Amino acid sequence: MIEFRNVRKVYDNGTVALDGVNLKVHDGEFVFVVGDSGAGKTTLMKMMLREEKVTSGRLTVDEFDLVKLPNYKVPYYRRQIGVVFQDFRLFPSKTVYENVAFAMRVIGEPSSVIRRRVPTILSIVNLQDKYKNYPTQLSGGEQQRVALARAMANNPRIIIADEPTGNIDPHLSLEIMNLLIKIHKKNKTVIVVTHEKGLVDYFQQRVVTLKGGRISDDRVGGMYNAQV
Amino acid sequence: MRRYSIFYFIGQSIKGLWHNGVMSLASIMVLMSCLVVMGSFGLLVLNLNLNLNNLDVLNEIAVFVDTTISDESDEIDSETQDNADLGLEELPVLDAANASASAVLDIEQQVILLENFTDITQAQRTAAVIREQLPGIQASIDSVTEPEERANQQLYFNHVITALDKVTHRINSISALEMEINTLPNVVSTVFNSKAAALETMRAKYTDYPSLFNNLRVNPLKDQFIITYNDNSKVNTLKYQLETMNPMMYRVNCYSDAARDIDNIKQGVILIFTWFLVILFVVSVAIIINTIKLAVFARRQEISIMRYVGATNWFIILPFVFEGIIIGLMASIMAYFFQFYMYVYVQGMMLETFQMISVIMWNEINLRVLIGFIAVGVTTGIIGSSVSLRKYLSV
Repeated sequence: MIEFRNVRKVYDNGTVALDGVNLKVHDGEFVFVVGDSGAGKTTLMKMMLREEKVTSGRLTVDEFDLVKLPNYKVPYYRRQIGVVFQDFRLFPSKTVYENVAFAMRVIGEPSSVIRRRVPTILSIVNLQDKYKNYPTQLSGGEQQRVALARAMANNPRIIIADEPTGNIDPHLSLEIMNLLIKIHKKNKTVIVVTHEKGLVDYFQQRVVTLKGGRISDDRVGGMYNAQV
Repeated sequence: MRRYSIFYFIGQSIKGLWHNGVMSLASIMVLMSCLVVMGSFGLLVLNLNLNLNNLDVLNEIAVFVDTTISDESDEIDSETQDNADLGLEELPVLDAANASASAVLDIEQQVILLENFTDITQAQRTAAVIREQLPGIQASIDSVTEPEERANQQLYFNHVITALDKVTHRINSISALEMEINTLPNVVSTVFNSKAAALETMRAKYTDYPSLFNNLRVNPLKDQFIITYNDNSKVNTLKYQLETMNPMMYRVNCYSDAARDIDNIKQGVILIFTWFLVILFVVSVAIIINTIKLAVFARRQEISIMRYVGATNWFIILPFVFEGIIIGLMASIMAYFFQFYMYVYVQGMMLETFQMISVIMWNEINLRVLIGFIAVGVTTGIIGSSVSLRKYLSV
């Protein structure tokens, strides 16, 4: 479970990014986080990744208290979370297979495990035939699927996707979202930060709307412009 | 905890070096130059030290001894007495044809020879031999029938005995002094240089002025000890000990000032060397930092992904540290060979040009140079890479 309790974040330059945020995401939930630029979506995500620290309030993710978590434990915490970015962030010099395997190698998985697990994950995202290709030989949608595969490589409990469809042709966005739903059905918590109205409205999931650093709306089966 | 393969890290670092090929090569070259400059300076200091140490002949004190001085009589009195004793004018002339008179004259010659001794133990032996002859001569003088002749001989003989006593006293005093000096701390060795030997040396030195020496009836020089000591810093203590040892120590000359100057030069050279070394070390570290920073910058995206998927700091750092170590290692090995050719070349030139200079042979120091280079090279590599990564270690 992810729990924000009265979280406030003030950056060094004095900008108040989040203020009085209270949010609970239960295990296995699917949540859209929406809002305009500067509403605090990115800050919210960075805090869940423990890239930014809470200024005041409490933030816990499962058994991890992110306010008290010492730096040296952060890598072990991050292994619980898979991240997908808008710009994919794949290694152009590594093949699809190596990109996924890399995430496992980083945490010291033995080669035998890597060899067994990578094909399985690639088959989830339907890329089992392209494991020898380099990212530049793939379409945007395919690249994002590689990124998703990498995010799942270490079997995390939570997947955080930051604008996963931002750089993808609209007709392929649906495919990525369907994959995220598929992953969600494997009993994973999925948080998708986006401002693609059509997708949010289409999937009818829980929608958390941020405005000016505060949660202005939070409802299940919500719409992008719920308030308006 | 899972174990990571060391080959992964080494492989990654070699890949990194290859990616930044030009910069890696540049930093190896610059680090190598720094090492060679450091090494050259170090070898220069070593050789300079060796040559300065060879100047340790200056670790000598000359002590002049006057055995006629005792606690009661001062120097001037003893000198006048000296002259009076040796002035032979007042003595009667003996007839060499007379047997006992000839024996007296013969023993006088022996005493005069003894006075010009150069070796202490030999002199002691000779003095004993002369002394054994005395009773026989006394007996033959006593058997002279003519009273006036007997009195003359006795007077002459008494004078010779006094002279013998004096020279014996001189020999024994010098022997005792030498033993005492050798017991002092800091004394390495003592060489005795008799006044007769000193006069001979002078005579040989000033052959153009024979008249200076021919008119001398008495040797005006003093007996001398040349004392070699160990520690320049304690020379003043030694000097004081020698001066207060015995009133016979007529004068103590030491070149402690010159010795101190040389010591100061040595200290100065070592100080400059140390600073030079520190500066070169900092420069080398800065160069490595720059290279690794470039490598890190080129791979910043990779690092950020590593961090998102939960790589520990060590996992991220190690390839860069290995990179630094490889740069340091390669630079130090290259620097070693460079230094070797340079040193042998300069050594040959120096030995050809200045015969006086002594130069340390390469095979005496090669291991030290190699170990020093590798130590400095690898340390710079590790420090350089760690410092340049510090920024990226924040979570």
